[in-house]
Amino acid sequence: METPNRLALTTFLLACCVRSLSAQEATPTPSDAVRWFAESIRTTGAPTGDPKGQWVIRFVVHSEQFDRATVSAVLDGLEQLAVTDSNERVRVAAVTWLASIGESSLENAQGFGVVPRLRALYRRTVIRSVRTAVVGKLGMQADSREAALMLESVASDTTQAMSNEEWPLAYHAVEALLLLGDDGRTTLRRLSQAKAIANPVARARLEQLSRSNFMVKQSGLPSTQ
Amino acid sequence: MLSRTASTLTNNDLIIDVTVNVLEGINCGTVQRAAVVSCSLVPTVQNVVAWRFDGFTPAGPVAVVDSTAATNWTGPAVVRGLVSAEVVINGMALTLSDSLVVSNRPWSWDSTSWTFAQGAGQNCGGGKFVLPNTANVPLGRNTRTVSCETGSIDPSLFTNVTAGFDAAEVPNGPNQGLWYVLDTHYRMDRGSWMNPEVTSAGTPDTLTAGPDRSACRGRLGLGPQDPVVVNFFTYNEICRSFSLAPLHAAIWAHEGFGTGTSNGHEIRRRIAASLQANDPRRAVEGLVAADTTTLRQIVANTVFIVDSSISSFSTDHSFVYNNYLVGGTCGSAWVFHTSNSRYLKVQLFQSNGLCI
Repeated sequence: METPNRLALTTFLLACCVRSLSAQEATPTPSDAVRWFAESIRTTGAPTGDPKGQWVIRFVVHSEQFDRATVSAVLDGLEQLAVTDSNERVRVAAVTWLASIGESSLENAQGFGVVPRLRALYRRTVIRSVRTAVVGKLGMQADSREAALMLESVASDTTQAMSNEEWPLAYHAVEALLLLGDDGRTTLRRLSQAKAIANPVARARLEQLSRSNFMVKQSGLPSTQ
Repeated sequence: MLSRTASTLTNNDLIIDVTVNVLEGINCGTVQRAAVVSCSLVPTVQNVVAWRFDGFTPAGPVAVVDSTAATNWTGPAVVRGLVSAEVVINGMALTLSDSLVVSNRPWSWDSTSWTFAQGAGQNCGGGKFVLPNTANVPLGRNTRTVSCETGSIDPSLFTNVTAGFDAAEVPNGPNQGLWYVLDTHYRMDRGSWMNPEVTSAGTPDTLTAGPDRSACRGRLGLGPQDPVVVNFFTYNEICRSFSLAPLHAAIWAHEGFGTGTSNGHEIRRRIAASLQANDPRRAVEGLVAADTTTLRQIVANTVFIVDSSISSFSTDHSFVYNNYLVGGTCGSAWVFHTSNSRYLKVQLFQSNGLCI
């Protein structure tokens, strides 16, 4: 009697753990993942606050482990969330994780069309926090050429000329261009030469930067060289 | 620790219960994150084949396997999960398990992590204060003390996403190989800046309009043929005997702590930063990943979201206004109007229609 029951115990424990793991391994639908992501932020303040909310992070960080259509559907969901959710933190988090997949590699950035997604997102909303997050994240994109083009259009947007923001979007765009290496500096030079920035605050910053040939120190202050 | 009670078990289970009570199982207990945990087996275990940990990180499940024969598995614990041991007792192979529970470190930031100094802000681009477009010339700014970068949290996420935290790899034990946040250095060091064009250092211009020259000549001690060269400050203070002290105080208040109704940028920033959800130390405390690149990405995005929330709250001019009020209406100043080529006394509004 004893031996079979000891074996039964072993089997029980193994079965328990394997089953439990399998259940958590079941990949949710993209819509569920995005919904849980939003719910986690609403209830805990962060997508990492709830295990189910973390699925979006997993899709983004380990996109190679999932089929492309599934990851694209998750990104579609984040794009939608960023413009429709009533919670500002959810919207910004959606932009953040959508953009993040384009930061790690040029292949991902182009394969998932991250900059075009961010461009579409920017145009679909006038919500300030979403637009600011989009612009900030454009400065971190691996596809620096496409990102610089998008930032150039934000910086030179004449509808932003009269913005009363403490930090106008055009200013954010100039700062983001500084992060894009040669592509960013080339764009900043072009904006400067064409006097293409309408917003006075951003234009003043551009003029300040032009005096250092758009080279900045680690601190972000213009280089003296 | 495995435990079963006889009262709720079937006959078959009773035999299992006897076995379990003999084995005792594993005991890991609860530890604070980064503290050393020692998961131990009872001495009756004759042979340990392997240890295994299964847990979850934000980027997915992780498993740690160690084929050590030791009767305990020791090392810093950073993430909760299930610890299992493959053991042999009396020739029988068994798997024993226990939960490893990890509690959060009591991390938070508070006002000691924030500094603000009036006049210590950066000049991030200003411009001459003239009409029209007055609303687009910044009279003041609330900036980082070290740079003109946007955002609130220092060090800036934009120039160096990893500067705000130290990552460490767990060297041994159930969480061996996992990366976690060892410490953080998040702060907010801010300063306010006033556009020099509204101070005595403003760029002087030669006045051409008769009324302007008349207002200044006598007070400046100039003869009838002398050119009248003034700036915004001297025109107001000397030519018109109009004190700019209230305007200057208002600019400092607007960028700083307001006038008692949470109507300054810095007080708004601190209100936002005081919220638990906007505490970057708390937000990243429990973040763990299987590699340093993933940890960096998750921490950076987590802090980006927090930073966005603080910055959005603090820069909104719908709440930062009414710092320059005189008699219940927006305060005024003499401002040069480029279309009329002369100074006009105007009330000062933000372009959203609110007082500054």
